Amino acid sequence: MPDDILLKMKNITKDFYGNQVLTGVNMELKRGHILGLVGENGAGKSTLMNILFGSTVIKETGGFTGEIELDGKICNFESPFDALDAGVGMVHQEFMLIPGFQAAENIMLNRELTQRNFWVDVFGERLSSLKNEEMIKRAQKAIDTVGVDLDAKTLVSEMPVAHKQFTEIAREIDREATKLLILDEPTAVLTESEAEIMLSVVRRLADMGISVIFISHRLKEIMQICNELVVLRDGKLVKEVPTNETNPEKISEWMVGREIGGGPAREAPVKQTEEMETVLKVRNLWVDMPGERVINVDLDIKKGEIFGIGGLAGQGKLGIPNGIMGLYPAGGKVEFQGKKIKLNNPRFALDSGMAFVSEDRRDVGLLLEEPIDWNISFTVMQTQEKYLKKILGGLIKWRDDKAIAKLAQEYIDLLEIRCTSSKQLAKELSGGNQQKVCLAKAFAVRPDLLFVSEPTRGIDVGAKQLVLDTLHEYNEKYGITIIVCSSELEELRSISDRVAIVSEGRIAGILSPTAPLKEFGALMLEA
Amino acid sequence: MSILKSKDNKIARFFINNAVPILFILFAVFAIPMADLSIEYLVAEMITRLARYSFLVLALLIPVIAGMGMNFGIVLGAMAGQVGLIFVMDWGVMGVPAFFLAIIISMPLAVFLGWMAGIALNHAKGREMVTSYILGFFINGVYQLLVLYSMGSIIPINNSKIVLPRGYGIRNAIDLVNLRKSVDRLIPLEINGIEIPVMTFILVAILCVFIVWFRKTKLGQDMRAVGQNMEVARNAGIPVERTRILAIVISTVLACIGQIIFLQNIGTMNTYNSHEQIGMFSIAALLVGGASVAKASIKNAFVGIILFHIMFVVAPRAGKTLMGEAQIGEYFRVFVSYAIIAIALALHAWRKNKEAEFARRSLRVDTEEAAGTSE
Amino acid sequence: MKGWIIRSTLILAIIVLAVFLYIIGKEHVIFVENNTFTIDGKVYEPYDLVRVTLDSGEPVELKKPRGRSLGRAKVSTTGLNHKVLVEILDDDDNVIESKEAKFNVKNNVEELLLNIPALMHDAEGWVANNQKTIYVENKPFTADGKTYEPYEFVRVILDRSKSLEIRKPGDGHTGMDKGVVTDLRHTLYIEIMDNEEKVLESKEVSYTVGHAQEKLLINIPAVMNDVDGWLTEYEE
Repeated sequence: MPDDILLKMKNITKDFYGNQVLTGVNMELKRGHILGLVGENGAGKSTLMNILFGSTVIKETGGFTGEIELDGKICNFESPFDALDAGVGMVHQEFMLIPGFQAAENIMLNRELTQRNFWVDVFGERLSSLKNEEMIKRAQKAIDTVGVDLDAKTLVSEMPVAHKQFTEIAREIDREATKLLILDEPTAVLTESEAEIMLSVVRRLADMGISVIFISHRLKEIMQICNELVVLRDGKLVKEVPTNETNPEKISEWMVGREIGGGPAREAPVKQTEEMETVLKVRNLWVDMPGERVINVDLDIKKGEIFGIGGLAGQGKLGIPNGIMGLYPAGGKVEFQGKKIKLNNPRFALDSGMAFVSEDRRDVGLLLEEPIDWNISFTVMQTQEKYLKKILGGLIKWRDDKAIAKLAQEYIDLLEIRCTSSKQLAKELSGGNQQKVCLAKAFAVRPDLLFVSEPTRGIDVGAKQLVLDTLHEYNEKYGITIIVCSSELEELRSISDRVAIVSEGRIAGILSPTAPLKEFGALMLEA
Repeated sequence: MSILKSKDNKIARFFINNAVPILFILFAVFAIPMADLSIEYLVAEMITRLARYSFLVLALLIPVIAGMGMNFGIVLGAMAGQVGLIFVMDWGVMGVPAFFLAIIISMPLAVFLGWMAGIALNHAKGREMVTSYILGFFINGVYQLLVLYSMGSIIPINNSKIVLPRGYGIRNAIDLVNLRKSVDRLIPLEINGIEIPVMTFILVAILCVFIVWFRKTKLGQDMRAVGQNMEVARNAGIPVERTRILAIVISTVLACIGQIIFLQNIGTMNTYNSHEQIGMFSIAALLVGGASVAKASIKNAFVGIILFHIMFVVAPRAGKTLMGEAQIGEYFRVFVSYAIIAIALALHAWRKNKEAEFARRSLRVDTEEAAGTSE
Repeated sequence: MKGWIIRSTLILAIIVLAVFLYIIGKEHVIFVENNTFTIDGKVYEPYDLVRVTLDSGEPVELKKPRGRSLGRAKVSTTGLNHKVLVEILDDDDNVIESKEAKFNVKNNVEELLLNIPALMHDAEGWVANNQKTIYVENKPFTADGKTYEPYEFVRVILDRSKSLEIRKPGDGHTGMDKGVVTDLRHTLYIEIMDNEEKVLESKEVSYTVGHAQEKLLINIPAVMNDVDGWLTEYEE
């Protein structure tokens, strides 16, 4: 195997409208080597690969600075097509395949083998006939090179996920120029045995002399096949090491280690939950929430605890409350206080005594154009018919503005919502205060169980602590069971009695908040 | 229930996919005996109508391949064809030469209109059908301006048989006496007293061969790709917008030829109406044949024309037998045309949802028992 | 390059095809006439009964015209080259005499007049354009040493259908216009007007055109003053 360097990226820097996403990234890749690229979501992996692949997004947002050298030549790809011509292939996370086409048709898409005929001279190249037989033969050869058992005539729509993945790889292989292949989380959607095959395919490609950049959250895989490994964190290259000189623990520390010791400190004692009564029982839950897909979740939530759900972004932790509360299509079995919960029916969930503070404050959580008191009383009015004056035996229902104002003032005082009055519009409040209104709205319902999703997202440090304290106080005072989903691990550890880590739509494990950080990191990164 | 057992599922799927044709076959089975028409008459009618409508209905297929749904814009092609016929009539050209000359004259206009429509539809991705429908009305206005005011004044038209007495504008009805059935009867053939328009069927056959061949060209393949997933096609370097425009151009040109065939068979041109219903009736026929907004074949076209027009022919008679009034049949055909299009659109949306749900099912891991709770 | 050559050839071929289709498909109406024909003082009389077959079409029979009958039949043809077979019949439908003749049509001619007696006698003009171009002039006319001056503004209506407006020559006006009329017998209606289009004087005359004559010239001042020679053959 030749030992020369195929790709050099020098001092790559990129910002999106002033928001720095990549800062001075340098890396190199040898011919026939596999480079693992790891990092949390939002660490800049995708942006880096988009730059390498010449995605138009990069150009449209102002380009990047730095230099890419491929095969000794400095490249500046205007579009993915330039990248493809230069020999860079990419297999995207979302499949770039046409479902109604055969594997062969997809592999040869827009590179079809054609035969000239008379009409070509009249109307141009696009009227040339396709040479189907030869295309199938050639595609089959590419598939065989990949080394999987797949008929080139299979329709993509009828393939298992793994075969779709292989079809994409075969397409890149079939381009004779391909020297560098970018695989964006190729194993994320595969089963374990499929992933095994995928890894051996990648290994084969490397043996053929193709360099591979392998993006994955599964450190085991990275350790297994990569020659080197690069860790990105917050747009900076944290580490570039040969794989055999490191181990998963170190890697996960490099990845998530940013806030060790930086979060809020734990004050309250951890409740012992083993003996407590189960209030919410979840079995085989699936939720089809875009970007936060839940595949199969089992949970037992105890009465009166604060249960934290953590995990990397996009792994499905937000899908759990959204699914149970009926905001996204879901299935499975959910029992609350011994009663079966109808899914896909938000009203039913609310009526059962559950409440939800959404991560999406601006679109779901608040009526931005309405005053604070309305916002706080809205759900209670709708679901419990409180704060309504009944006239003519309930035929007409009148809003009881006095009672509403009183309720609002109560929560404004309690949660220290900074506002001019209870009549101030919600959109005029700061992020932290908006979040408090959301909480007040949920508390006003007096729920037995409260879901809180990303409670501290986008609010400043002081407000964060206040929100967390409020949650804790309500849990203590009223015995409300609270389930908190958050990307901030430290935050979860500071208030929860137990913390579950979600990975790839499943519960990877449940830990005590006092467990060492390393254990959390391992759960987050291992499938 | 969401999960059907696989065998039931298959049968159910067959019925769902073919609901409309099955409905029409049932209708035919009941209505034909009631109408008390001879089989010879029905067969003769069906042959006439196949000759008359096939080309127009087949013109709809290519935009469907390109994922642009039913092209109501064939009305544009029809208008172009009529403009060609007006010129040919003015020049006093007769017979088959007139037919081909009309095609040659109207073709550039059809290409132009199709190209414009294609550009418009590119700005309305996902809403092609309603856009092309409205576009038809808009171009109809332009057509009327052209035919009613410009012809005979700006554009020289001298034949007093087609110009309004005031000296400009085209008469409402033009007798295509020189053209009537000229193509149909070019190769005369009669079987059992039923006249077979051999030449017209040859033209339709050529179009079928063209469509089959076209699907196997690079452009055809690109259209299929664009039709299924525009983003993937674009990422593969296929010029999506251009491909879509070409699909509409081809469809419009074919519709232009189709309208000329249609009118030579009818023998009279209603200058201001002949084209108006063409889009709706052709689309309804294709949908009756079992096509959907996303999938249509040559077979759908022929089956659809026969079933739809059996209804056309039989309904007035059946209506008379049943209600003592033939008018009910006329009412029926318009009503049913709209109903079919509405149903087909609703079915399409419903089917899409079902498919999405079907795809989601792969997410459920042994939650068979739990499935009941999800509905 | 090769593509462009093929493309332009194809476009050219289509244009040629269109012209060809126009020529072979263009309708020419032929009026077959069994009627008196006069030329250069010679008169050919119609036959009692003739049968005429044009190209390979259905034969038509024409009797001698009587009363208001014109002794005519209308036949529609396409194409430029035609042949006609004329058979003179007796009372028992026996062919007494027959003659075949060939003729060409110019493409832009809409209607032809084919006269049987003239054809049988090989007289010039047996087949002629049935559409006559009438040139009308509003110019000085001199006869017998006397000159008749043109009018300021004249409206002329040919055969009660085609209207022409002619001003006095000069100031960019030619004092001339033309119109196409069909067949042999015609009327001419003249209105003399002032500049406000008020009619000062009007007159209607009838005239007949010879078979072979295709272009005729009419002088308005001559017509208005009843001077002979107001109708002449037009020469370019």
